This record gives sequence, structure tokens and C-alpha cells, in this order.
Amino acid sequence: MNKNSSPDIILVDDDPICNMLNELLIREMLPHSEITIFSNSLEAYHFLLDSLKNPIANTTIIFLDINMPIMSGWELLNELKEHITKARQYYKIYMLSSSLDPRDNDNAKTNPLVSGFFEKPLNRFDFLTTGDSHI
Amino acid sequence: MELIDNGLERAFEIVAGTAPQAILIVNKLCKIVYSNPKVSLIFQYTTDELHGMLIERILPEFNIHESVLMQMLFLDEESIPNPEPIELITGITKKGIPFQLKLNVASIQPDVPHLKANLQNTLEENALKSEKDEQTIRLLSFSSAISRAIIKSKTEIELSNQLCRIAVEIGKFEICWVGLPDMVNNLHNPIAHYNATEQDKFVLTTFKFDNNGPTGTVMASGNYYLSNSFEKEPWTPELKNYLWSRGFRSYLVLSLKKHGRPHSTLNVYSNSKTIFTADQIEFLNGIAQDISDALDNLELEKMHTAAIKNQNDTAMLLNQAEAKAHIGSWRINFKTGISKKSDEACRIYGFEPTEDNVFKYEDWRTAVHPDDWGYVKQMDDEAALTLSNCIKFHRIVRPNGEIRNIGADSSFDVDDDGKPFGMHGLVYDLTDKLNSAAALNQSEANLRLIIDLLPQCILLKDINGEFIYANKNYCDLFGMKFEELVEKHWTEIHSSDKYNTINKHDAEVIRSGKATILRDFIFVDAKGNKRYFDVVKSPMLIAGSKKQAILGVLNDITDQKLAEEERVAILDDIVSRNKSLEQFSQMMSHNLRAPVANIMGISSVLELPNLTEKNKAELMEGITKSAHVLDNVIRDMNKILHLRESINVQREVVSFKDLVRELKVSLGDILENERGVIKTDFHEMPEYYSIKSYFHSIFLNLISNSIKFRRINVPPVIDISTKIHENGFELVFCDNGIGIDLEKYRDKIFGLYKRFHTSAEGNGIGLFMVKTQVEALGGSISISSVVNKGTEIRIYFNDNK
Repeated sequence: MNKNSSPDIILVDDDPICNMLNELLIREMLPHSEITIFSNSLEAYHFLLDSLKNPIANTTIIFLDINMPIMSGWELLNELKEHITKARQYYKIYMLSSSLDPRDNDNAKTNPLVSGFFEKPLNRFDFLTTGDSHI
Repeated sequence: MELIDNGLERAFEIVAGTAPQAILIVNKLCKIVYSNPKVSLIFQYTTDELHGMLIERILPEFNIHESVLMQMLFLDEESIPNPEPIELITGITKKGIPFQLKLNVASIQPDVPHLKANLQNTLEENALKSEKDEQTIRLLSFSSAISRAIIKSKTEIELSNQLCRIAVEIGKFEICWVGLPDMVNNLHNPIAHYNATEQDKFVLTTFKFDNNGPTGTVMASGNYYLSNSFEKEPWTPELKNYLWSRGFRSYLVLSLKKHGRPHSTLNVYSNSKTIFTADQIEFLNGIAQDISDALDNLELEKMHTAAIKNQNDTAMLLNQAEAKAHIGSWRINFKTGISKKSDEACRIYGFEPTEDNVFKYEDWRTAVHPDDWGYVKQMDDEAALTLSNCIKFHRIVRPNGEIRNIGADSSFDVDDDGKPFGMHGLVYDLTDKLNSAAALNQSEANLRLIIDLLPQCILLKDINGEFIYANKNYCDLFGMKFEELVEKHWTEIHSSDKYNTINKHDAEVIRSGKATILRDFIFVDAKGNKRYFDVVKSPMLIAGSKKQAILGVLNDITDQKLAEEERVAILDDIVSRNKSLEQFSQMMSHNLRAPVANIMGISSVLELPNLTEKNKAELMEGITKSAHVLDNVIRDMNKILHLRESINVQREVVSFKDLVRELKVSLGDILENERGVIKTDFHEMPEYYSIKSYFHSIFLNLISNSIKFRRINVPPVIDISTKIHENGFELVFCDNGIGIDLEKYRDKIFGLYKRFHTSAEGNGIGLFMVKTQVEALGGSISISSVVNKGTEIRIYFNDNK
């Protein structure tokens, strides 16, 4: 993996303020990363599904909000289960929530698709733990 | 107290013995006369120690009511929930340890007057019951009369006729006949009879006896033949039927001998099965022997002497038997006007027996109780008209003023011309028997009362299912009196849905031969109350008849069951409250924290060095938005919390039509902008007595939802109507909106802060509020929806007043 090639970032959250904040933070930390934002989880799901059919070499980091209408973060992951091998290969998924519910953290630990869990708001230190190889 | 020996006593023992309460019976001397095993368990005294003990030793605070014959105490150790206030009392155990008990007291004061009212009946019954003693007296009189007949009679036929008459009149047999059997043609050849009907005579003269039958056997052996169970005899059905139809239940054939060989038969029939005991047969056999002797003895003088000797012997026996049985005899000669009484008869009337025991009419007249004189006179006059036998039951007053109850029977002595020349009869003192009968009745009445007082419902039914006995509590279940219930079959009083359960239980009791319990038997009593019982049934034999029966004891567990149901309901309520609290905390953790997290995030991002002015402006706007969201969440929380408290608000008549009119005004612009239409049809249920603010909120939320979730370019149409149902009514909200995919979201539809659309605004509180309010009003809510067609919400209230 090329050190200069920054990972692509996908943000999935129905809260626009949250998306704006995370975008600003990521731009600061990973100025060369391409950032895609979805405020509708269903749209995000279809995008991810399509991407797996024609994967790009670069690893994509996804910040996935849990509490969303129509399709929650967990439901989205559930739909991706069929493609778990590919998804694990190309996606690094971090769950993101403002919830203080410890069950979300537990679920994140046991879900094979999930690399980690962050409480909102996202901060710089969180980025350091996403894997220094990218930063 | 003496408990009488019958089925009731056994029932009482079983019920009291297994009762959960401690049961004591205390007499008016404050002494314990009965205690069940539970008492021993609680107080640690044995039953023997308790018996006769003063109640104050174990219950020092207990006050006895002197006016009450006995008191029955129910003591409860455990605190079973009981709606009625119960007296608490301190008990002291054998070791002197005091403790608290719940006390229920019932008084036992049986209604005695009914015994008096039934005196006449009881007298008659008892006269009939005068049993063996009286029988013996009869037979002795019989013997005595026969002796006289032997002395007087000059021919065999005359003796036979006298014999038959005496047997019926004094021996109280139904019919009597003497046969000189024709052993060649097997004919009975009756030579004398008494009380036989024309048909009897016809049967007797035409019937051919079997050589192995009674007559054949007696003629061959010279022994007597007794039958007191016709059904076992090898006779023809015609003969059996005939004997039954005449009311005969036993038949005795005695052998009359001449020169020591069977010569003729003496046949007596009785309508009682038990009239012939071994002793009595022996006695009758003796008489038959006397007659045989008489037949043998052609020398009148010799016969005469023997008869006189016999008469003297029997007279002595008679006197002894009379004294023993308290039965006296008397005789009056109309010609001489002299009345003679036996020694025992004198004693009954309260006179010392003398040498001759002469008794004047006037003495007897004064002896009869003044109140009973009318009855006695009437009976005597009626008897005199027809010269018939007569039995009277009345009171007499002894010279010392003592009142006795007596029975007296009388027969006229008639000469050859059919004119009466005297009277004779028996008199028996029934006072003691009546007293014991009264005591017996009282004892049974007590026992019935006690069983009626037991808190359990008790029934006794025979093996066919017909009620033999039931206590008051059981009868009350069906709103019936004992008299109405007894002899009914249980299927007549139970509803058919109970047949299977009861049949199974009864069958199990009979099959196992053991007490069997049926738990949680649910039953709706005559008052319409739902009751729960544990039913214990055990097989038992009815005293005397040896018939099998089922004793049932129903322990009422309704209070426990209701408490249990209440507990379950409370538990359900707690679970549901807990669930909403959990939801509430989830809401706290997410919806309250989301804007906070945003504000925190913004404040840290604002420190980033390379922010544009545009970025900064957006972030500042983000803070404002987040602050508003936070405010809204807090307001919603407040609404929800307030909602849970405001259920005690005053109720009023809510007119649905008015409500919609008000909402149309307040929704005004929103509705107009979208060209929305609200159609209503409340004719089935125009108004409802309830909390107006709740209905306002329910209508507002549902109408707003329909507008919010309208289809693009399709003006919203909202149909609101009421429908009456059997037990309540329904509010139906119907729209033509985008609908909800219920397959996916059914579980979450009414959840707090659940949103299903990204396309429309909505804070996720609406349906949650509606559901909470509907449930607070005691209703329920359901939803059906088709995506892109519309949504229908039904609110059901189980009440249509």
C-alpha cells in the first residue's frame, strides 16, 4: 500500500451537522482523502453494494452512524453479510453513535464487519486508532 | 358433644380434619368439646389434652356468649388476604408462648321448635320403631290368646280359624292360613284362613305346590320354612310377582303335627322382611308345638290343663317382658265395667301396681292430658263405630303431675253374635324414646349446622351422581336451597362446559379409591361472580346402606387467585413501565446526546487552523440548530412526563365533530397549502365521555402525520369515523399517504423517536404519544398500511357508554 495514497472515506449519517463536522475533521487529518457523504442509509447501502462488484484497490474507511431512519447502521451491516469476505477486504467500518448505550459497543466488538466503535463527536485521537498505516 | 354415627359425621371429620384453619367447638361451660388436628399443631397440645380444657387456657381473651349453646371457632394462622375484617386474638401455646391469630366465631344454636312441631310424626314413627321389645310383647300376647283359643275350641276347624284370626289381629301378620295339604295332587287345601282376599283364596286353592317348595319341605321334614327374600326362591315368577304385589316381604310356614307327624301347615305372611328373628321363629314353633299337642290330645280335659299351665307361664313371661319394654296391657269388660291393667300399665299411668289393678273409667279419663282429650275421644268414638282396632299417641298426666308421652292400641272383644263385650290393648311409654329421638335430632341438627358453618362448600353425591347432601355454602353457589338440590343429578345444576372436568375427576376418585384434588376449578356462581376452587373429592361408604358415594370439599381460593391475578397485572404493568423507562433512557442517551455531541464537536472543530469563513458560519449555524434540537427534545420529554401524570384530569363529553372543527382551525394553513381534505363520519358514536386534551393530542398527531407523510403531488385525504362494536367502539383514521412498510417496521412503529421516512420532517414522537395516550385511556391501537396507498389506524375502546 502506497504511503501517499490516502484512503477513501465514506460518511453515513442522517444528521447534516454531524456530517459537516466529520468532513472538516477528516480534511484536516487526511487532506488527500476522497470523502463521500450519505445522509440516507439506504442510498449508502446501494452504493457500498455496487462498489463491492467493481472494487478499487484502495481501502475505504466507513464511518457508519447507528441511529438512522429507514435503515439503521446495524441493519445496513446485516444486509452486507452475504458479501462479508469482500467487505472485510475492502472496507474498514467504524460505528459512530451519540448513544451512550453500552450494547452498541458490545455489538461492535462482536460484529466481524466492524473494526471499531466511536462515540460522537469524532476527534483526532479516534483517527489515530483507525490504523496509523493510513495516516 | 356427641356426634351421631352417620355419613354427616364422617363428612365433618374429613372436612374439619383437613381444613386449613384450626377449628374448635366450645360449649357454654367454656370447655373445648372438639378440636381438629390443626389446633394441636398450633397449640402443641394433643387432642386428648384439649378435650374438656377451658378455652381460656389457650385463648385467654376469648369471651363466651352464655346465651349460645355452643360456639365454633375458626383460627387462621397465615395471613391469607381476606376482605372482611377479622378479630385478632392472642393464643398461648403449651409452652406458654403467645402469638397472634385471626379469629372467626360462629354460634351453634339449633332451631329446636321444629322438633315440637313434628312431635306427632315422631311419636308415630317411634311407635312403629318400637322394635323387638314390642314384637316380643305381641308374640307373647299372641301366645296367650292361642292358649285361650285352645281351651275354648272344640273342633280342629274352629281351633284353626281362631289361630288365623289371632295371628292376624294380635300377631300383626298380614294374612294367616292353615292348610291340610293334599300330598297326592300337591294342593294346599286351606281349611282356615284370615284376612285373605278372594284372589288369595283362589291362588291358595288352585296353586300346585312343588315338593321342594315350602309346603313340600315342611310336610316332609316337620321343620319350619322361612323365606324373607323372595327373589332368591326358585318359585315361578307369577307367584313371586303375586306375593310382591300383595306387599308381602316374608313368609313363614310352620308344621302342625298329629301324633308326632306333619299333619298340616300354619302359614303366615308379613310385609316386613325382618319380622321373623330366630327367637321369634323359635317362639312361633313353640306355639305350633302347642297346637300340635292340642290336635293330638283328644281328651279335652288334658288339653285344657296343658293350656292353662301354658297360659300361666306365658302370663308370667308377659309381665316380665312388659316391664322390660315399658309396655303395659289392659282389658276392660263392658258388662262389669271393670278395667284391669297390667303391672307395667299401672306404672306407666303413675300408679303403684296392686293385687288386682282395678282401674275405673274416670281414672283413665283424668289421666289423659286435657289438651289431648279431644283427640283421644274422637279416635275412640271412630273406632267404636266400626269396632276396629285403633292406635293413639297422646300425653297423660300422672297423679304426681308428671307428663308422659304414650302410645296406646286397642281392640274390641266381640262375642259370637258380633257384639262387643270388652276391649283390650297395649300401652307403651314413649317419653324416653322421644327424648332420645329429640336428642338425636338435635345432635344431627348441630352437626348439620356445624357443617353449614364450615367455610368450605361440601357435597355428597351417590355413585350415580345424585346429591345426597350438600351444605349451605355449596347450595349458595347455585342459589338453591338444600331441599331443591337434594336428589338432583349434578348435571342438572352445572353448565355443560364443566361436564368433562367433573366426570374425569369423579372417575379418578372412584378408580383410585383415594382422595383426589382438582386444582383451580373455575366456576361462576349464582350471583355471577367468578370463583376459584381447589376441589378435593374422596370416595366413601354411606353408613348403613354400604352404598358408595363421593364426598366433595371445595376450598374457595378466589381471594388468593384474585390476588395472584392482581400480582400478575401489576407485574405486567411494571414490565411495561420498565420498558418505557428503558425507551426513555435510550432517548436520553441518543436524542438528548446527539445535539450535545454536535455542540461538543463544533467547539473542538472551531479550533482547527485552516477553517474558511464559510466553514465558521456553518459551524455557528450548527450550534444554533443543535441548541434548538436540544430544546425540542427537552420539551418533548416534558410532554411525555406530563402525560403520564395527567390521567386524573377531569373527564368531560368529547364531541368528535367539534374536535375536528377546532383542529381544522389550528391546522389552518398547513392543511390549505397542501389542499388537504378531512372527511368525518361520527354518526355511530358522536361523542365520548373522556379526557378532552388526550383526544385533542391523538387527533392532532394522527392528522399531522397524514399530512406530513402525504404522497408527492397527491393532496392528502383523511377519513375519520367511528364504528360501534359489541363491547366498545372504534375510531378509524384513514389516509391516502405514502404508507409504511409494516413487514419491516411493525415492531417499531409506535416506538419513541422512530422515524420511517427520510423524505419528511418528523421528530418520531407522534405515534409514541398517541399510543401512550390511548393506553392511558384504556384503549388499544392498531395499524395497517400499504406502501404508496395509504395508512389506516384503528383505536379501540372497550366501552360504549
